[in-house]
Amino acid sequence: MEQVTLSKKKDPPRLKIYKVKLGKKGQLTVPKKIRDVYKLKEKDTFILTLVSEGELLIKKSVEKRPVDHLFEFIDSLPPIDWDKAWEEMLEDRKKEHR
Amino acid sequence: MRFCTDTWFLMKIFANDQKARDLVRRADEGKDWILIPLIAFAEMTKKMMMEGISQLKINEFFNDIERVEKVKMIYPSKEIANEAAKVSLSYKLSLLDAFVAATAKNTGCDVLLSADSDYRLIMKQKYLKVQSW
Repeated sequence: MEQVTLSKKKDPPRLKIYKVKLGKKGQLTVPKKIRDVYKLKEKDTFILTLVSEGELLIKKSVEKRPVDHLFEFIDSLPPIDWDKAWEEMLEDRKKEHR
Repeated sequence: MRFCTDTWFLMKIFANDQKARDLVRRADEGKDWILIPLIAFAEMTKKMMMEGISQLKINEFFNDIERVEKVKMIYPSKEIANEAAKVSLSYKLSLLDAFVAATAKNTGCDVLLSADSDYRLIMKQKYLKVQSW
């Protein structure tokens, strides 16, 4: 009879539950541990979905921050030697000043 | 901190300079201000055009950068123009350099971000703090 070896399975990730209080102005504080793990920053946006009575799903919005959009846009441009461009610009400034 | 930028800083953002990009991120997080004089905008636009970047993309860049939280374009006022004339005469600066320096002074900036050596005198005489890397 063939012997079956059971693979060593890792424990499934435990469900972490945090209890938070709703503030005066309706604000919920995301615990620091979660903010650090998911790199959540001030002004990040979230989508709240009411799943059922008393069950709320909070999902980070995938909408890009303007700064990320800006850098991605710049990096999509063809490469330019900006150090050389700056040197040329200084020359232009000097010419215009003469 | 309030930073005023010369065209040099805008080019650093394009050149994927970490320090420049970190500063833009800090502005986005509301920690610092970055003020862009309109004349630096004009100079950068000219350079981008010379490098073959389309008008559409140039517009997209400036729209994007203005959407960042604490980044603001500074339009020249009569006061800035007057200050620029004085600075140009006092420190023998080109009018373009003088406009950038006057914008920084007039808007209460702590530092002017520029690698233009022509600003040496204004730094030496403590008119403005100029920083580059």
